[in-house]
Amino acid sequence: MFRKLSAKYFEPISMWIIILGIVSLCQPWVLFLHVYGFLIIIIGLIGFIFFSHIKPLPEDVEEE
Amino acid sequence: MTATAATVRRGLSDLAIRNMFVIPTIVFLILINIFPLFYSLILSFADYSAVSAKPPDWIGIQNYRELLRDPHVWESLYITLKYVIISVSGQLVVGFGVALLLNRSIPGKGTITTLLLLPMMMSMAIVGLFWKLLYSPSWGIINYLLGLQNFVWISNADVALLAIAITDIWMWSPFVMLLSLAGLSAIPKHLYEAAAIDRASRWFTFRRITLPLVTPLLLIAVIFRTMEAFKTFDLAFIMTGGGPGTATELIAIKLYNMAFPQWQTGKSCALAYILLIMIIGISNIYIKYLNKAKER
Repeated sequence: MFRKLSAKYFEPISMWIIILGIVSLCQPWVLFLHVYGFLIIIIGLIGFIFFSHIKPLPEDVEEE
Repeated sequence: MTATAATVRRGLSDLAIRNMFVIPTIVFLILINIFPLFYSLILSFADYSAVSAKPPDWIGIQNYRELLRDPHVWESLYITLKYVIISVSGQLVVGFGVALLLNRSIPGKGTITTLLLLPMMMSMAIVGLFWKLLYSPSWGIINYLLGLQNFVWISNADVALLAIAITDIWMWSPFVMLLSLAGLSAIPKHLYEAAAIDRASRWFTFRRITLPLVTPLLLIAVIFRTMEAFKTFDLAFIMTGGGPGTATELIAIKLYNMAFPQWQTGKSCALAYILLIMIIGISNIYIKYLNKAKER
């Protein structure tokens, strides 16, 4: 179940967190977002590295 | 053949190869790559200047905190993002466009392709210097060709970044072109024939056949160019030195200024790590999409 959730939700969410972090870090409008942008990237990156290593089981892939 | 003769003929044993080639390479790699990487990571948490006699003083995340609250760093990151978007999208459009033109039987195709690859083979410093001359307001050929009388490119804060991006596009579009051309030439012809039989429009053929099959190679080109664009230093430094004012102060130039003229070694290491984490994040996303595109 966790493997399925990881591949379907957690991994894509981590990717979007990385994108959000990069945009936050480089955007020129809100200082608060810039200050925490780097932290957001790190959280997303750790999440992405963790969840992308959890592969769905072969039977789950077949079901899909 | 005896065992001894076989050993002599075979030359070095596995153990000798390990001792003579593998171990020195690993040691060299550790000394040149791994050690500086970890040493700079430690220094990024320290108050340290390479010209000072004082040893590094551990200050935790203070360097990172100060950098992320520094308005100049914020501005540099914004300038870098603008530069990356202009430069990479320009290279993608020009490179892919030229590849589409070259992906048909034309006389002298090989020669044209080779000539188009020349900019990529040149030194960044040379390219920067001669584009600086081309952009010259009084006698530069660009103003002459565009009919812009004394238009200032490099010293104009509004267009200086664009001028550098155009130079980068000129230099690196051939790289995208080369990868796109490899992808385009690998598309089976029978797919186009089937599309022609079904009376598919040219746009439909492009969207449903050409683009999906070239995407993996295009993504590889985008990964490399994005990483390079984020790290751009030499071209911008030679053409403008970060000026006028701070209009073209990319994050790599900011890093250099912090590391050398100002000798803030600890802080510059922290900035380098911020840049590194950003690039790792972007690359991970691209690689994920690359694998997805390959699976398709």
